[in-house]
Amino acid sequence: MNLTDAEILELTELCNALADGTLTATQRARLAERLAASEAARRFYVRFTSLAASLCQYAGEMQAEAPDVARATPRLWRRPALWWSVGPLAAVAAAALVIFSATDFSMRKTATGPVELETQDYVAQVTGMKDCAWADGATALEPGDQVERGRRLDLAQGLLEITFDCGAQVTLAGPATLELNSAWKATLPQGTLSVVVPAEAIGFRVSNPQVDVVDLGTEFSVVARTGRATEVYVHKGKVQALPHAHAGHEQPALVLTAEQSREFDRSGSAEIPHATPPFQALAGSAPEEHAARPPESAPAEPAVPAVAPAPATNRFANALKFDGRFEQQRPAHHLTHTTPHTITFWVRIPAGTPLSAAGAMVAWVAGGGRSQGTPIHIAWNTDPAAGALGALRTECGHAAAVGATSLRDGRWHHVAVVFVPHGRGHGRLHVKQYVDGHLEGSVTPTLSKHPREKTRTAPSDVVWLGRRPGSPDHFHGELDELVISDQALAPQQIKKLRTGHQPDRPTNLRRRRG
Amino acid sequence: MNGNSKWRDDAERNKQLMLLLTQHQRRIFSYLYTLVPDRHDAEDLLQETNLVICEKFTEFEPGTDFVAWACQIAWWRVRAARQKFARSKVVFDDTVLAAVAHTAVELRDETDRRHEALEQCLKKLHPRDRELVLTRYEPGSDVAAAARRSGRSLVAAYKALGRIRKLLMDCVSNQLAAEGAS
Repeated sequence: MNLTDAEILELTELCNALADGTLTATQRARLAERLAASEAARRFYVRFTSLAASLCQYAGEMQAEAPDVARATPRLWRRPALWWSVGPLAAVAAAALVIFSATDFSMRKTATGPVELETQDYVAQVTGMKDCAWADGATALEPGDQVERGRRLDLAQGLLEITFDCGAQVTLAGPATLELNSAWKATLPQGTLSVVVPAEAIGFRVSNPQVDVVDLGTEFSVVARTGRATEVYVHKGKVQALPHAHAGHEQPALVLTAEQSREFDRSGSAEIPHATPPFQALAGSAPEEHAARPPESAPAEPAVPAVAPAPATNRFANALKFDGRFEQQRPAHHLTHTTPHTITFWVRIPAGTPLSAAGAMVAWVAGGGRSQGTPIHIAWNTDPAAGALGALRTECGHAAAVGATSLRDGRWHHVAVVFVPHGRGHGRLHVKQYVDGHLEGSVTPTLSKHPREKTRTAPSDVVWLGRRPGSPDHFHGELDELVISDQALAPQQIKKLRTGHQPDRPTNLRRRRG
Repeated sequence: MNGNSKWRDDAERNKQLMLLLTQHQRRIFSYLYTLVPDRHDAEDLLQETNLVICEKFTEFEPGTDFVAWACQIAWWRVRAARQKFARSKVVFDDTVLAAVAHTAVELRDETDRRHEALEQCLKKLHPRDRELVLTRYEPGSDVAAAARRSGRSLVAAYKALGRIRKLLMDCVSNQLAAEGAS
């Protein structure tokens, strides 16, 4: 049965609103009603959305073909088109597999040579923005930007999502001020924020003149207003609230659980009657959906567990085994210290492996546009003065980040090391390590400006597996699913790689709209 | 099977996988976009779908319909991600979603033809309209960005985009009808 003119007009209006992101709840209900009732309406809808999908493709092709055209700054984060190829290929890698996306590195400025320790570092990344305006008019953050420790953000309006390096995902609703104290702590002098804290980031803390809120595995919101009580709302899980002492009066710590809320001020704390959490429409996981019948031809698929299972024992059946003699070299173009990239892999090191068998797992010499390069080695720590024996150790020239978890236990561990050029590639490199999704150590070396200190190592287009160039020490153990991405991956993205096909934990903000 | 032949088999399988994935990304994306009409959500799901396709590729029977197989996997990714998208502005209940998915599969061949026809229809647009609509659908862009770059007000951009989409829909339908008649 064909649609009448009136029906076509109505569907066109509804689909246009859908395409433009202006669909109201009433319109959505009406569209769903029409689609449920009419095959002709469904055909119209499929043709309309397919047109939009095709436009996405043609527009993407046009953009790729015209790199010199001045473009508006993207307001919303997007993943590079080639990014997807990294994960899937890792998943099918029979053994270590190195994949790069095509990025133009030719315009980056650089300095080369050995490195020295620098205290300033990045602690978070902007992972989403919507309609942001800044109170100082000078802030120019963009999605994907790294944010330094100690940075104060004065958001006049809009929504800003920041993912801390520990994995905590903070959404700030303007007007608000947020100070980034570390990868594990933020201060909210005023404004509203909502936090989603994955298991890896338990212990993340939001501080305020009235109260400190320490996450115990949860989602919560904090509302801070100058001269008024600070409100804490727990959507899921639980938090520990530590009220600050005023006039010498200590207040006891409180544990707030799901759907509890409390306000804190100088006189103490109290429950919030008839609390309406901020971000009510955004925070908290989605309600359970009733299962529905799949299309007839769809294959059965087991339910996806909420938490990634331990890697199946046969997952790494084809891992590369390093026995103290074996090593591999793979082509690796564009591994420079002036561009962001991330190295992830699985590793298993037999328990009790001697310290003499601690050669580099992955190593390369990072070039930067000149003949000299910075040697980078990912290995395990053999120096008890630097940290736990067996912990992940990433050396970048003379500086090293050392983790906490011993890899030398005979189990498979997922390792990710993120390299971010500091100050947009002008001489510093921020290195942070993740072991099994947990942030474990970071370091921000500065490239030396003294020519005498340059290494004699030339950058190469090769990544070494099982040994670092110029060293007789070999690695003993197994490696698998090596992935090199030309992005500074955020914790959620690393988690996604680690968990393979596991979906993201439900997030509660839909602000990335295209 | 010795090591060398296994390596060759794996390499051949991976080559075939990448060929099929590359060849049919647009079709899988189009299917996903129909079910989750938000570019970024659909791209996220496309990545997840690609992962599962890679993992399960040994189960794919060569010579059968790869897109149909991939769309079944995509369907399950959408189902698995329903919680994730339940709070987005546009979400249909499972009954509607299943019905739309069924229609999308039925119209797959037509969708391919419409995609090719659209290329010609885009060329027929007034350059100013073509620039507006392509700017709107560029990665990372939105209506506001397209309005700014085209010098239109936001309201004018919404109206123009609605008009242009209708022009394109009509043009594509007419072109398919003409091809069918010839």
